Amino acid sequence: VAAVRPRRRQRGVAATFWLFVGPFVLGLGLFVYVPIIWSVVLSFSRAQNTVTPGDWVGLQNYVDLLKPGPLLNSLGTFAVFAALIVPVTFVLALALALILNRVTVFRAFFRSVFFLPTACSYVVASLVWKLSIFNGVRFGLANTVLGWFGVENVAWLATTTPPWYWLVIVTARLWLQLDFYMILFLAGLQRISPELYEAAEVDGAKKGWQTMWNITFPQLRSTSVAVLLLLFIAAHQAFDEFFNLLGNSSFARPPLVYLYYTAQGNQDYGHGSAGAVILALLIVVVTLGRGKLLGFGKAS
Amino acid sequence: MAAAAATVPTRRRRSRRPRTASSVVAGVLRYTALTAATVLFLIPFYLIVRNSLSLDTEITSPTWTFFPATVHWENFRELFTDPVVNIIRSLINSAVIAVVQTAGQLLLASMAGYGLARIPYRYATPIFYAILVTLMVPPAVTFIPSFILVSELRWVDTLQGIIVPVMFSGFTAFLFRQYFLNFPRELEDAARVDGLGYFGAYWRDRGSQLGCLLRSDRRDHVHRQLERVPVATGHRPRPVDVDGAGLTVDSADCPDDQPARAVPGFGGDDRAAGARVRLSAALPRAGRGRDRDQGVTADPSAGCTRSHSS
Repeated sequence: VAAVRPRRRQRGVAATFWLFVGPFVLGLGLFVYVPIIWSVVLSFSRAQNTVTPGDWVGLQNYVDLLKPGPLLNSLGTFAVFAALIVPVTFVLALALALILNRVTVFRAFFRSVFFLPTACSYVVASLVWKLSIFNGVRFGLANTVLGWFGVENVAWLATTTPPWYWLVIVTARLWLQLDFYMILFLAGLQRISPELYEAAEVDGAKKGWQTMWNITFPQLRSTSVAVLLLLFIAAHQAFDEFFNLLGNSSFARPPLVYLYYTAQGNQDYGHGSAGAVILALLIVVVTLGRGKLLGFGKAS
Repeated sequence: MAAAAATVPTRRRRSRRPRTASSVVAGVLRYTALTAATVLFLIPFYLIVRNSLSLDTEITSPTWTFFPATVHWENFRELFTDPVVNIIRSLINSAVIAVVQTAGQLLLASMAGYGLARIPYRYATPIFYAILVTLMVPPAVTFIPSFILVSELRWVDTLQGIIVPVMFSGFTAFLFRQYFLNFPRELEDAARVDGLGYFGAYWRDRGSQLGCLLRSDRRDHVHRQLERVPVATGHRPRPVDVDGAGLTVDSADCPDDQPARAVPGFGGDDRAAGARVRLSAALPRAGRGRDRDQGVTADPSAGCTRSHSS
């Protein structure tokens, strides 16, 4: 009896476990694992206008993509985009959070205002930006305002010298995502123990910059690292605003837009899948390397 | 401003500062910056409203009109009667997708998270890692085969084709697993002793979580929920600790038997205190014994103090 009971209990545990986890794992296998494997297999075949693997070409798709060409250009676009959007969002979100944290009157109102864009989609924002703010002719808001100062119309999205389209793209994303990161910073600020500030005051630290530099910023370290990482990944996966504002332009096409046009536009699923695998590997490398690069998760 | 500050209680007690000239200047600067940012943030909304009430010629006129001279409400009527754009149908679709997808995702992921965190099955850890791996794969990798799969199921152009494949979110399951790991185990063990099965315990745990989220300090409702957004990882070498309620982004660092380290103050403390209150309320005898052992400090001012009378 003593030998039977544990085994039966183990079987009961397994049954209960699968009762809970089974439905999820089944769906995950069908809708996530099957497509991933399919995509990897497809990346080793020539798959023009077909999604059936079979015409094996080995690593040819990867070789094609890693030669100087559109995929590497798109990674360059991503690098420029990240170099613009990550610091701008980081600094503004931190500044707004610092200000809001010290404000008592109308605080809820200001927070609601910054929260509103979260309810907008990238498509809506892109439309407003393209049609009404950064329109290349006089009826756009930006050109109207500049016109009051005698500045000629600027073709915001159609000129590459200077690359004004970055202003359009960065402001659109900034408007949409600033609130989220501001709230992360606010949460970080509010968990700083007031005793630290009191201790600093006792020790003679001056209010303002000295306290901020020695207490607030060090205490925000883990939040800052998380915000940076999230911003970076979000920039890596940028699609909607580029797709809606610039379409298939050759000068600013981030990786996902390039893949979209390769796979859906040219029906070249082999190259599309190979590019997708390369991007996934890049993400994995960044995720695994972030511990060393940013000290994520290090004991403070 | 000082009077208003006194009537709006802040959570943090600040030392009273004398109002010096520099603090007044700082306050003015703060509000100026906030007002400027507010105006900039509201411009797109103003444009949406203005455009929606204008004629085409007014929108594209080279002379800027701040607001249309006559308000064209008929734009909205035409939107709803336009035979080409069936907006009512679109709105219904959105609502159905949002509700069904969210509900399905929550149910599936919370069950899976509970099973992974609580049921001592031999292969629970490998299965958990298999779920984690899917978090690293960007959606772009799978969108072509996903489409083929959906079309094989003859689900193209149907609601279930949009809803079902997205319901199996590894991220949501991961969050729920972390939550259940940090849920005080003593409470659940007690419930098991009282005769609740796994399902009963799962249901209670879930219920209390929703209660916590809904009841946690209402003033800071959204903010508090977002405090639970995962932002850091780390190890906690001790066994499960009720104070640990942090979540992790990447728990590859975080094997099964080591719960994620709480980011100090990132959520957590209040919830744990609430759970302690429940512990002693729900279990009069055993609870008091524990109180003495652990020196429980039930702080009724902390977020979730719902006592759960069963």
